[in-house]
Amino acid sequence: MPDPTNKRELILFSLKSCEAGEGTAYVKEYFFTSLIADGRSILDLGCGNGCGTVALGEVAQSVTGITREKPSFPDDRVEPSPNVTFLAGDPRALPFPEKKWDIVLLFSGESIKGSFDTVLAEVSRVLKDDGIFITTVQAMDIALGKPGGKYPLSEDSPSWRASIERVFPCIVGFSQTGDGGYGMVPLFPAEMGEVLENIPDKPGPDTPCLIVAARRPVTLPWLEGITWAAAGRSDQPVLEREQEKRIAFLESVIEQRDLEVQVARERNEKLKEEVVEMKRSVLWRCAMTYHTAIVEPLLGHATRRRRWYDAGLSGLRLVSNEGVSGLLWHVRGGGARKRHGSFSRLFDRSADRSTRSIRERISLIIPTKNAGYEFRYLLRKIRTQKGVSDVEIIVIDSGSSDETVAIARSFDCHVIEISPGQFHHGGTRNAAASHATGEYISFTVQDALPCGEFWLRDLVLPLAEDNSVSAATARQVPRSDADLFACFNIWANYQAIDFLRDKVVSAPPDCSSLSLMQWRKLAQIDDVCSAFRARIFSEFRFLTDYAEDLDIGVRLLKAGHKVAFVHSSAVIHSHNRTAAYFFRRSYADSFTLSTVFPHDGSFIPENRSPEEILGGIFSLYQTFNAAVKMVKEQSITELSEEMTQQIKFLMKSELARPDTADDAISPGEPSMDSLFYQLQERLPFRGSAHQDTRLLRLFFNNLDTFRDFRKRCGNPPQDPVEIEAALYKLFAAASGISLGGYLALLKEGNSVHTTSLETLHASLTEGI
Amino acid sequence: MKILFAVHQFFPHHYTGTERVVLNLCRQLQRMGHDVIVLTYAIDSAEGLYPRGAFLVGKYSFQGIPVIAVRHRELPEDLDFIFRDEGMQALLESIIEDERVDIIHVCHPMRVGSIIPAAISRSLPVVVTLTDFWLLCPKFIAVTRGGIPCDGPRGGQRCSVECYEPSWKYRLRERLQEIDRVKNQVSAFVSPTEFLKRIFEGNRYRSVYRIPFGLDYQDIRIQEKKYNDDSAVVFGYLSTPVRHKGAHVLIDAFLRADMPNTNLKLFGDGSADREYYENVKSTSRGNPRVEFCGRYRHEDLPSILGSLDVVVIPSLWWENSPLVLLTALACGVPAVVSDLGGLTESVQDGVNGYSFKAGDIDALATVIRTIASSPSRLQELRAGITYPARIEEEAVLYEKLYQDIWRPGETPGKAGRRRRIP
Repeated sequence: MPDPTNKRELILFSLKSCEAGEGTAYVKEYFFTSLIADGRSILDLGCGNGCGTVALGEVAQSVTGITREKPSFPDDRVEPSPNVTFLAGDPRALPFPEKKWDIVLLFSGESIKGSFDTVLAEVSRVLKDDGIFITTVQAMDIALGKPGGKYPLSEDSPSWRASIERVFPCIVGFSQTGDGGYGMVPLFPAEMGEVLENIPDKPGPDTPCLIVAARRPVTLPWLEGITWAAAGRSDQPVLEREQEKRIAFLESVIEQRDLEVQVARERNEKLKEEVVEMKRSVLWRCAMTYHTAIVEPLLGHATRRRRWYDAGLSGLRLVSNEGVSGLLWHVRGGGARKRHGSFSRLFDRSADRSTRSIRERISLIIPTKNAGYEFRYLLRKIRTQKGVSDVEIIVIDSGSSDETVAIARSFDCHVIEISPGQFHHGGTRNAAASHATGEYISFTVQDALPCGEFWLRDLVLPLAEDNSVSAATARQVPRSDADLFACFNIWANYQAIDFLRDKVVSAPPDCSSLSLMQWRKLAQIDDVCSAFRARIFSEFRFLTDYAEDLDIGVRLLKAGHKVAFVHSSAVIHSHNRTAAYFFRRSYADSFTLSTVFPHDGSFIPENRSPEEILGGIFSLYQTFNAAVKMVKEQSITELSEEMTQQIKFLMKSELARPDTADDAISPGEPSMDSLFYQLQERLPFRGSAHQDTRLLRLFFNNLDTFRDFRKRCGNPPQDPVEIEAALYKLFAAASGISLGGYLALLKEGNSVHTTSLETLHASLTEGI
Repeated sequence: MKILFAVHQFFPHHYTGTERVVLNLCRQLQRMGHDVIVLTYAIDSAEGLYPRGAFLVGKYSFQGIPVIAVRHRELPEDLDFIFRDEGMQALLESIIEDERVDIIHVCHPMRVGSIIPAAISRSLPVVVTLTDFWLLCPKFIAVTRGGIPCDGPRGGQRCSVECYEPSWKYRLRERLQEIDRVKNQVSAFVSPTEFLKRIFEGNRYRSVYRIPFGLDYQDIRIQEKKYNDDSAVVFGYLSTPVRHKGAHVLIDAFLRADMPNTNLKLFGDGSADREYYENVKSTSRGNPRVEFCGRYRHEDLPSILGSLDVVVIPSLWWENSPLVLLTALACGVPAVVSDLGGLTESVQDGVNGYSFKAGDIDALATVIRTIASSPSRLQELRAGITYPARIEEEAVLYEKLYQDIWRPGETPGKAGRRRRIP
């Protein structure tokens, strides 16, 4: 039984005995109010079934409940005391004079749909100046920092806090703790952790958070049930404490600034006194006399004598302030600063390199097809190049279906459109060059991005400075998203052709016996970034549809022209491709170049059919698969000497076994598996790995080069998946080269295997 | 070639601008076939370090980049002030020897400044990238105690008047003299902006070269939102909320502008200056259009920028080349910046953004009103953006510089090997 002398217990008992059916939240709302209701006048808007209102009558001076209908108490034992009255009314138009009530409650939303602001205005009218308004929001909304959330009791209302704060600027929130008391939660948005830290029981979706709002901070000293006290003056709303902190902070800043101003004033006064003292001194008077009587008459202003005198005085002042080194810097270093601009040493040591610019027109040719989103970036980079006065961009488009042509036109490019079927690497570039009006013609591609603001100038400068140079080429650097093999490929290519610094080359006197690799070192111009004298280009032009850039380089050198390799000029260009792509690309390169250039003589033709050689490659591929799997099983994941030796050893061991042609085929790299499957369908092949020792040698050399590349980079830890992918690409490239070289010889020798040769060639070069 | 990068702090514990610059550059140089290693100071923790004389040393790897971390056993009180420490210099000399480095590239000399005399004593070429004012100003931001930007120490005299007690005069002068003794033997100083280049050249630094910071564009997502005059505008602040970055200026200006079609989102770790952060938050007075979003990860930056229409950098110090600004421009987000430092080299007023007088709340409020009253203007500003440099470009330009000051085949220690760019 509750203690009849303890009014709060009575209230709680009353509420519970009513079995209001509203749930625990309802009880908590009125119990909380009862803690602060002693002797107060209370207005309960939307009092529901009235049980809570009646319960408050036990402690309050007077309680009035506003309801649309006369309340029907669920429990006959509930009988309102004389200080409790119920009125029918509308909270949007309260029938009370101003400033009547101490406390106004709004726990139920039945009567306020769509008019929260109107209700608040009325509450403000009828509430005393030091009165409080109590309502509820979902505690979880506060915990999640949703101050802008809807007022839960009125779906149509805007942000509850914004609405309440417009009327009652002081707000504090209360939420119930596990032991039945009430603790304070921070009201303003905060980190989730902070809020939950302050709520011992993490609030569930139904846990109410009672909002107490007022016009000004009011003390609530009668809340003895608070489980913990907020730091400092816990009886003050949080908002007021925040404002006070800010004011204190600003006052401390002002105080500090005042102090600084004071110090500055004192220093100023002191300096003034020093100046006055100085002017009174004998030394000063002598100096002024010397100046007015001797310097001014003898060393007139704007005369050379005077300038030297002033410079001498400046030097003495400099020595006094910064020492002799400061003077020396001004004499030596300051002069150098005026002479040289940026990058004055980056190409050669001539002093005015950075100021060189190309005055003649440069025609830059870009073949395009669906260039993609970076095309705009490329054209903008070209248009903002420095050191070049006149750049004509010629875009030759072979059937783009995206915005490539429109983008090109927006950058004032001369656009030539051809059909996709008309595209040829050499012929298309020639066609574009025939429209060029520049003194120099430069070629690039749609996805090669220039490095720096002087890329084009640096590329063309060797042509402008040396009439014997007729072509120039720059290098490629890998993109930031390039995979391991793409980075290696670029690096290995430039190592192989010795393109490691700026150089100008010419053909040796007897160049008839130069091998492919020797020619590549001399003549490997790159369509991705190259430049020619327009007059020379029109004479030589591209003559082939594959390796057209190398071919023109060879012919230029043979004709006595020079080619410049500009290592200091670069474009960003790389692609991440599959192993199958590298097989086909290497095949195409090797086949084409072997038909153009004399082979190095180390290749010994073997009388085998294309099917047999392809079968040999496939068998070796199987052997390689097995080696890679065994290495993985041994958990070797870095490309060390150990790993490469393991692979070589395992492959040789496999080869030493009896004929493995009939061994079960195990899956390897998906693109290679798919490629071999397709080739098998078109040209059933057979063979044995034992026969292809040339490929094995080529692959092992590539493997060593790859290992050297990794070593050069410090052999950093690498994703084992990427290393494995790179190894397959290495094998694919070696296989393609081997196959291409052999088929080229077969073709050259008018082999009887013409049909299968043509079938295989067509399959491998499709799309390349 | 093998390049050792020296930086005052590094991943994984520190991941702001300078650290990211170093990481991106290292990774790109690796792709281009160079060997890189990072030397850093383990300021946070001695975990994983082992004793080596009076110091602790450790090695680890971050995203494929090998890192050597060093640290005093007992952290000196003036660690962030001193340039050279004899003991540290000896340690770094032995590290350089062990690692067989070809070039030293210092990206921030605080705490690891001894690497410069160590490299010079081994006749190794040294490149120093200037990322802030630390070589001139021990506070590195070059702002006096009175909040006025400072353009140089005047031999240390100005520091002892404006920022330190007079008793510090000799220490300050000695620090500058120590730096002066070695700086003329540095092969090249590099600045990412013309502004910083001018400041240092005006303080007796020889020919400072300019190489802009490069971004890794594979992290970039172009923002393609279309604007009309009814569009809402979201302003964003993405810097560490500390006083000299000016978040309070932005909030005051935003509230003063009071444009109903605008929102302001502030991202950044508030733990750097908790008191300032709380005061800044209280300034917003719970305005629902001001949102404090807390810390963010660099990986989330592109998606954060996708949700913003304008980035604001209201710094009160001479910002150099903040990566946040470069990233915003690369993503096609116009910027509003203070007219201090190198900010206006990337943002041209009315072309790809706006600038305003630093600290002037009314001026910034005017800019906010200008944008909010005509959001379609953002389309024109985006079209005016010149894309910042790429990390590949930065790496190529540095590689050219390295090749100019170093020749392969020359062994360390050989006289005359080290070349200085005149």
